[in-house]
Amino acid sequence: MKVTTQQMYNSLLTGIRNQLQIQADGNEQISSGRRFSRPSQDGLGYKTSLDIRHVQRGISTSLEALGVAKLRLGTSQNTLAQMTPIIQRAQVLAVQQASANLGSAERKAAAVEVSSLQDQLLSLANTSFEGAPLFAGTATGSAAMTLDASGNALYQGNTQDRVVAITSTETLATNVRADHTAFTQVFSSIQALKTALTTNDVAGIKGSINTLNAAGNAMTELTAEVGGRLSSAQIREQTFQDLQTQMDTRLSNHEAVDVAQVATRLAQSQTALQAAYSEVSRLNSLSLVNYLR
Amino acid sequence: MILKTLSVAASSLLTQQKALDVISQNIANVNTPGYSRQTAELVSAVPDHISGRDFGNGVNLSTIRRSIDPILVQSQLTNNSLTSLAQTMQQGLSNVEATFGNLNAPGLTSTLDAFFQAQQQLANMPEDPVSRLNVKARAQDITLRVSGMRQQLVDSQAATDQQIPQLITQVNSLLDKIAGLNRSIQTREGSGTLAGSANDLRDQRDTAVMELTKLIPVQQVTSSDGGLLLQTPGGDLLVQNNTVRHLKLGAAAGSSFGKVEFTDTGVPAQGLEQGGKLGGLITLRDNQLANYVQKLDSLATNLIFSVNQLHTGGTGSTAVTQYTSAQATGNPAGAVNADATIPFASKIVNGSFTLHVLDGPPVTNPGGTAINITAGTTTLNQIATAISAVAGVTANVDAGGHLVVNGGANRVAFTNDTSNFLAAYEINTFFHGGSAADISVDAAVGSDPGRIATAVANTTTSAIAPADNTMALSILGLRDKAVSVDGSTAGSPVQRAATLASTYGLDVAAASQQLSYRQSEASSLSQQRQSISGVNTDEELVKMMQFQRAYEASAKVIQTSNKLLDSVMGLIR
Repeated sequence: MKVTTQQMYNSLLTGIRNQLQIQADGNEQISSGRRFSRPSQDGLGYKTSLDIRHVQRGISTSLEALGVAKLRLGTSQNTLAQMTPIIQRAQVLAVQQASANLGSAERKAAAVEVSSLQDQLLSLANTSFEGAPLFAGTATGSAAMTLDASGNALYQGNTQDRVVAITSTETLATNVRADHTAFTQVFSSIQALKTALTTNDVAGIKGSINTLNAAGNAMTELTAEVGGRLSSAQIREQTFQDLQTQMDTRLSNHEAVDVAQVATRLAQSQTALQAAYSEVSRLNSLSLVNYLR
Repeated sequence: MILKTLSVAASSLLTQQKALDVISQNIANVNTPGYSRQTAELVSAVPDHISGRDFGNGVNLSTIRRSIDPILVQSQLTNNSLTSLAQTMQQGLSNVEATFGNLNAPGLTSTLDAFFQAQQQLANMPEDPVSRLNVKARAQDITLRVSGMRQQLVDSQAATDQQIPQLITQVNSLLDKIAGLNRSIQTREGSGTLAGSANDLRDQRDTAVMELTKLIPVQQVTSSDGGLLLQTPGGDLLVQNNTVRHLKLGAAAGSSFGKVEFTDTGVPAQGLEQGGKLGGLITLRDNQLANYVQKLDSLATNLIFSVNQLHTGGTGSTAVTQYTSAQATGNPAGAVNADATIPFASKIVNGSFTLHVLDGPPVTNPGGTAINITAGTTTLNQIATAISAVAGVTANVDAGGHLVVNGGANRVAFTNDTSNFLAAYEINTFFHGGSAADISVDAAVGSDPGRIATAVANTTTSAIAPADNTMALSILGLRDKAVSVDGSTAGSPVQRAATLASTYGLDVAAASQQLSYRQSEASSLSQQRQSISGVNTDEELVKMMQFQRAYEASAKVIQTSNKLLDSVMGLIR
């Protein structure tokens, strides 16, 4: 095959162009730390990157949502836990006032304290969280609970739970409603004690010891249930954190460039490029013209 | 006989000189694109037959032949055309790359993710006004990005289209040039012995055809009289000898672009999309870019309708007492699903929506009143009448064709629209528009984020709880839900956006790969051509020395003959 000077120059030019492309690609990969940055560099790989980012965004939002859920559940648990000593104090009062040695004056005085305990319980039932009643369900326009003229507790909220979206399809109920039987038992038993003390009804006082005991147990169970939900949210949070780490690793494996490999390729290309440049200048002296003097 | 020697030597001098001319021509054109090396073919002159013996008459230049391989030329023409196609596609696609974003700024997918993230935050804190503002802002990001991307793609389509007439002018000019060269070659070569002798003109014609194949794909047929016929891959004649058929860009029909057609007949030229820059531009304009626009429109259409379908059945933190449909009909007495100017009118089906009027407490119609719609029958006027029949609310169709639902001092809410009427006429919707071309956040939501639906009116009591997030959760459910309202393959919004970017990436990869393959083939073919038709200066210089030596030898023969003549003349003196 005949070889012309133009052929040799063309080959060298093509080689130089290819090596310069390798240099440009390598430099971009080294500077960005990624195998590819644009869809044109790896169409399928780019989609995988977008998918991983989509999942990562979802995970970070889920962790944020779990934060909201944990805060509301934690506040609920804390508030419910504060009710237990109040109920216990009422129980103590009931046991004391059930004694036959005490008279109506002492019992009326005790009724004042029970009334105060009732107010404290009402205040706790109407606890606000981020400006909205914590135990009123989703009807946050008014207080969760009020007392009527006879001292009976009336639930003002609705029957819809406050759910938090953990993912686009998974939700978690993050509230306790004051229409729960534990609340009903607490308020009815304390009202019964108050009435019995006011009316000096010893039998009623004795009866309220049991109902207060049952109410206290119910409230403890409810508090434990909320604690269980909180614990479940924490486990879920841990799962998402693990998933987040996995996704970070996956993204890194998928996108990250093998710096050593690219650096080696760049060095090889540099050598080839230098050789090509040297060849271009050498080619100029390889002509018969130089010998026809 | 001495004179005979002189004439033989003279013929040699002349012939060697002509051969040197050919070499000179080769060296002069060593860098001329398309030049084919020429070779002087020498033959000994017809001898004189004297006394039964042949006495040579020297040497003649029989022909100057150009070195060319027709099969190789044909391969180059085809490859040239395909290289140009791939180059145009790759270049054109690279020009719109910024539209699809990159991993540092992933564009549409990231914007959609941000919207659904905001939606999730709102679902988890429905009473928070800042979360509402965030949802509105993220939705506006989507509308701006989607419409911006569409505009960029449509602009690229238009820019591509605008290159076509300019290219056609170049094609027509080359066709004229080729026809002119056909004429010159036929005139120069005539017929018979001179056939194929117009070397430089043929080189020029080959170069012109080569240039033409960079612009359009052609098939060529040569004739023995030096003529050339060019036709499109679809078999339409472009040039035959000195007859030329010019091309032009036809008028655009509707929303589609004009086709390339023949000036004389107005009939579209067949097969032009198969190669050349013109083929690349047409393919880019009508396939790739059009496909991206269509996919983007589909994404927007599905997002708008699927969000609106849900949103119409919800209510926000603002107690809305009056709704005005964002879509208007020119014919309120016609069936609601028959108005073609309303993007989603055709989606209206037999069904109903529930109207809640919170005129209490207590509410007159707890649980709301169903307004029934029969597709093809129910008119906007009838719907207005049906709504007005409900206590505490009136409805009418205003002069502009909008349905206005007015509860006076009463809060009005809708639920459970199984007919799609509310979504189609954009009553209590989140988005406005029908595609990427006109998508925007509903004006009412834009001016009052409190209208972003998060809650749903109770189906029994019509009560609306401030912290209810039922609707926000439903809309959030669209994040990863594959939906299709336009007959396209079902996909979630993020999936659609990622597929769009990925499709683009694969298109570029295909074009780049094709370009790389074609360039490598072009390089190989060019090497082969150089090997056959290229000029090697060293080789030419060696040949030059050969002819120079022959020339010098012939001169020596003349000198010797002259001395011989001198000797003869000396005898006479």
